[in-house]
Amino acid sequence: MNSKSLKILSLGLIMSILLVVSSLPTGDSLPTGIVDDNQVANGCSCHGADPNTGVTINLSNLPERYNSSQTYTLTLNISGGPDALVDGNQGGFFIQANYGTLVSIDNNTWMPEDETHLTHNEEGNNYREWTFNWIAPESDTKVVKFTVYGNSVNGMDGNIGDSWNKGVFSSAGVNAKIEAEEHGELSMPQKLIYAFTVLAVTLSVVVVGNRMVVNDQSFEDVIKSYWKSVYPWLTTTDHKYIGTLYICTGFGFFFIGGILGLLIRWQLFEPRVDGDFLTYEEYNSTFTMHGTTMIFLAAMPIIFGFANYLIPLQIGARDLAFPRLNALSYWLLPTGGFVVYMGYFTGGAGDVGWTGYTPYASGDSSTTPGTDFWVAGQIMLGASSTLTAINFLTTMLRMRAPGVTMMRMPLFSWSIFVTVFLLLLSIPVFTVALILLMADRTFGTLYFDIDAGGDPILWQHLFWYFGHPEVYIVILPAFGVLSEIISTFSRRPIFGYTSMVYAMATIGVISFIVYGHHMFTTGADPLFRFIVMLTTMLVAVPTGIKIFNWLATMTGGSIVLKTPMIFALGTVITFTIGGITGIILASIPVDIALHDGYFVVAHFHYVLVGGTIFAFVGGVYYWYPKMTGKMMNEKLGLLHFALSFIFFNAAFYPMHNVGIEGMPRRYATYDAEFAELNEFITITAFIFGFAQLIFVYNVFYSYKNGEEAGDNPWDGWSLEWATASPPPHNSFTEIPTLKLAEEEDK
Amino acid sequence: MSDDHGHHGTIAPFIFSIGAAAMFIGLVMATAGGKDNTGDTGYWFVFFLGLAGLLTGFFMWIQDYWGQDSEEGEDIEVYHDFWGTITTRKFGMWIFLLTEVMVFSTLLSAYLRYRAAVPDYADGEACGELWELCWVPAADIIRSHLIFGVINTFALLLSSLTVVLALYAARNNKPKAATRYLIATFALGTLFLILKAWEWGEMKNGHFWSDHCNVPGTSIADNQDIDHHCIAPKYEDGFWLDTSLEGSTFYITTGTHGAHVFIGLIALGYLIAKANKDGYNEEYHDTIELFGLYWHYVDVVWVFVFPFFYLY
Amino acid sequence: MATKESEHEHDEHHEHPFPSWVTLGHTDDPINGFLKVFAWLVFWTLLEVGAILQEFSFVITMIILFGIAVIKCWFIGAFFMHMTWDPPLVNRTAAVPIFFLIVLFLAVGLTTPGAVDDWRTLCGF
Repeated sequence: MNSKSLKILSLGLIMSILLVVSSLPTGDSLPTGIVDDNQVANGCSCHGADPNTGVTINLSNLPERYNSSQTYTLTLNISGGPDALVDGNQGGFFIQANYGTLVSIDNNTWMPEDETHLTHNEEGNNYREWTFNWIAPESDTKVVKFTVYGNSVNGMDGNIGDSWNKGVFSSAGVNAKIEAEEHGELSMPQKLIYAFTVLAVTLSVVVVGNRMVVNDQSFEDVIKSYWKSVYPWLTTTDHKYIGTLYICTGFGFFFIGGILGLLIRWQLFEPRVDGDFLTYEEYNSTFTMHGTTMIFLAAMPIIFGFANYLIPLQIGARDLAFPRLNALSYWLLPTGGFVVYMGYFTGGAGDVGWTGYTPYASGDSSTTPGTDFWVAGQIMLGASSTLTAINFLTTMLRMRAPGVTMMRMPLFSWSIFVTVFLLLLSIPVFTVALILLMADRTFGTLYFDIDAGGDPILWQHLFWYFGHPEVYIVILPAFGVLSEIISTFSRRPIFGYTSMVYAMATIGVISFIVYGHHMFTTGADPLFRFIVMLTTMLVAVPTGIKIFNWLATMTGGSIVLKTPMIFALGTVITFTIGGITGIILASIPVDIALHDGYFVVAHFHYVLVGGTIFAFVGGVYYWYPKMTGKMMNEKLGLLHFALSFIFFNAAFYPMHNVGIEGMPRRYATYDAEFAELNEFITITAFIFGFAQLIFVYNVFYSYKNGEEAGDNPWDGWSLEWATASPPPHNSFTEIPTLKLAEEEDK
Repeated sequence: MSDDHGHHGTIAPFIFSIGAAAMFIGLVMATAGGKDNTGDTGYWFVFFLGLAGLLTGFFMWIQDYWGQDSEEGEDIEVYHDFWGTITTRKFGMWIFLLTEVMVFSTLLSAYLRYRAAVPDYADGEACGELWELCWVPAADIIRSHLIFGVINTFALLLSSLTVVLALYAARNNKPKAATRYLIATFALGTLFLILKAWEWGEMKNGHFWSDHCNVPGTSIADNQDIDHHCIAPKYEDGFWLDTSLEGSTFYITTGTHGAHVFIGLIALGYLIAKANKDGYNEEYHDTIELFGLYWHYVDVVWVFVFPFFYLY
Repeated sequence: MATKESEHEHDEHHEHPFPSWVTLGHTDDPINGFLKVFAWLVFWTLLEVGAILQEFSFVITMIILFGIAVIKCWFIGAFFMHMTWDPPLVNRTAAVPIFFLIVLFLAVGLTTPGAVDDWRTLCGF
């Protein structure tokens, strides 16, 4: 009965799902032509579900190469399809050009108001050939694409017997560089992906071959032994292993995101024309993928990797409350990331900015599926984060060891607690927004369609309602790490523990109100903007309290200057700078001037790289001994810090200057006046990037050759240092009890 | 990664995630891929393959629960009393429901934004020739066939009751009655979805409007009748999610709710299967309670969706 | 993960007090109580459908619809979801999103120019 009923259940489910799927929507059109842009995607589907190859569409007089601003008279002809009644309706068409202007020249065609396409009208219904003008665009470097739908009808009522087809024609400007066909010239990102794949495959072959030779094993045996060590990683539900997976995946994507960042900087090394290094469209997807990768595929996984590893240790629990759910949270990450990157294999990755503003993101302007993949992958990542939040909240509230009251939890734990609380309430909003966007793009809903009365600003509200708590989600854990490191390496408990906790909680709650400061230029209600400006400035207060508490901790302590501490100190400096520029941007008039410029880019890189990344790199140096049992090399660590700190500041500080001078962000090129500083920024950014290789080398080298760490190499006081390095399978042989130093034994 | 503490390794999350990824890849390519980016229908195969993977992962997951004795009564030791007053699973379910609150609140606030921005046609504003400048709510089209929405409301309310009765039957050691109440809940949920699907079909094809408003032999313009909620021609060709903003908000919100009902029914299917195999009794019934919380929440959402989409 | 028998006491078997105005009189049987709650839900639903058919003014309609929705939500939450008899942890957990919901509805729902103008008119400035 058991497996049988399960089989029947699954069959039943698949049948019902088939049923649901078969009722997917189609578009419609009218005898007065296709009026609505949304029907572009669906063609003349009222006249038949699919295009019919029996219908031939011909667009004559279209030049292979057009001259700038010249007018061409084109003739569109449809043949094939059903026989037409004389004097009855015969056919219809729709034509759209992505550049240039279409002009109707007789009474058979018209351009619907506020549209840019031509279609037939009642008169034109009686023909299968139409003539109209096309005025070429001023720029002669474009490749113009004409999308044509031709409908061949038999003139009888209803759609039976009608057939339609779609045609795509193109004309290139005399000076345009024509992209070669699909498998010809590759875009830069595609080249990189292929290069790395080839590299990875070669490496695998070499490693496997080496094993076969050295151990005298057959190919099957080598693969089997690798599978034996891989399989436990695929099936683990242990928080330490899942944490490790998260951290490795996070740093892997950080590497990819870093390359994307360097592609941006290379593009901006000097002012470039379209296609010189990247095409302007490719640049759009480069900065989009850079942002999305860094936030969702690098920063958050690294944070939750450390959280997974450390929280149960710090609160004295054996594992999280729902270990299998935790594994699911993890596996949705690489798979979701893969979906996001699928765009690179299908004509171009998402190019809508990591913020995905509508109506650009929801309309037809981005015609490749890259943006759809970008949306779909993030829906999966949203699910992953939601499950993580549920898991951590349940764990931290319910599974603390005896003596670990909320106000005795280490500050890293507190930071994660506030973080997952923010995650719980904000991620669902973002996921729904993504679903609405997907619905607009895929199913033709009109949430963000201006013509239908939709409001693109709705997307901004929903995105930033999540987006602002999101940036606190990535910075609060960094604060937690800083508290841990600074207290341990100042050899005293953190100054003002209670105020630290309340500061984080306050930051968390206020973060939901301040999001409007990303929308100062949208014409939002003045009262809304005022409240937002006030609260944004207000949130600096608890943040400042934290910074002063760190300083006070150090002042009263005796500082041990090891790599983790040095990174922590550097972080405090760069984060403070970033925080100050944030307050500058909080002022509405200043923001209106600096919005979408490089000042903003400088600000968020200072807080995200200078805050989150530096703190967590420090965290790696701090907790690596616990996780691996080996110490990292101090000298390499110092060198890594020196190069990173110097060249990070060298690269990002000048961005404040070019931003104030007016350089806009997300532009693939810039005015000559910014060239000198941009050149400097690019060079220093590359050095910053290469400096990270020292860190990678240190991580791998120390794993084999590092000094033995012992349980507590730094003399820390939180519970993770009370167990072995690395911790045994079930973390604690016995759940410990946390006592204060002054407490008597009860 | 040994299983000395009850949670052994499992490949289910991995399979589930691969399945989900394949589903999305298939869906995107099938609707936006291909040579001209309008969809490459061959990819529906990938979509269904992914769905199969998803379901496989799901079944692998519940396989653990299926075969063994229930883990009920066994809970993680709690050392801080206030937080231990309910079981871990119940607490986790409540926290999950908080995320669901945010999901539906997002949909409802987007809807509120549009209802507040666009004047209602009944407010006497100039609405344009085709009523395109005003909001003509779905409620107007449904008004003439409101009985179905009301039946659906009763069905969901009754199904909430039957879930509670199932729980109490189990607690009072009446496993057979519990199973029967669970089946009743399933039937009511299915009724809800069937009626909704039928309603949607009729609205999409314009039948609800024309049943009520279209007098054959007269022109559509003549049948404009605000008092009787016949607003043409905005919906004379049917009312679907790409017809208008009213349609988009209506179908996406009620559709999301319907999807949650559907997923609930899948979970309920598992409960019924387990009830048939082992029976829920006074020792093992917490699963019904957990499912019940989710199901009542779905009912609460309907309590808000019904008046603001079907009535107003 | 330590395991131990849950100390959850199911004393609801024996006493499940429903407020007497819900059950319109005293009842010992929880099943009876739930049936009465269901009856109340049906009653309020009929009331709200009836209210719509009366076609009151916008403000009255909103008050009635929203009010009845809240009442029905309370019935389901308090009794079907067991919140009346659950420990305070449950009620407090459920109350957590309220502030954030208010922010969401106000900020997303009511910041379009049309809505803002309405509020200005309603509030008299």
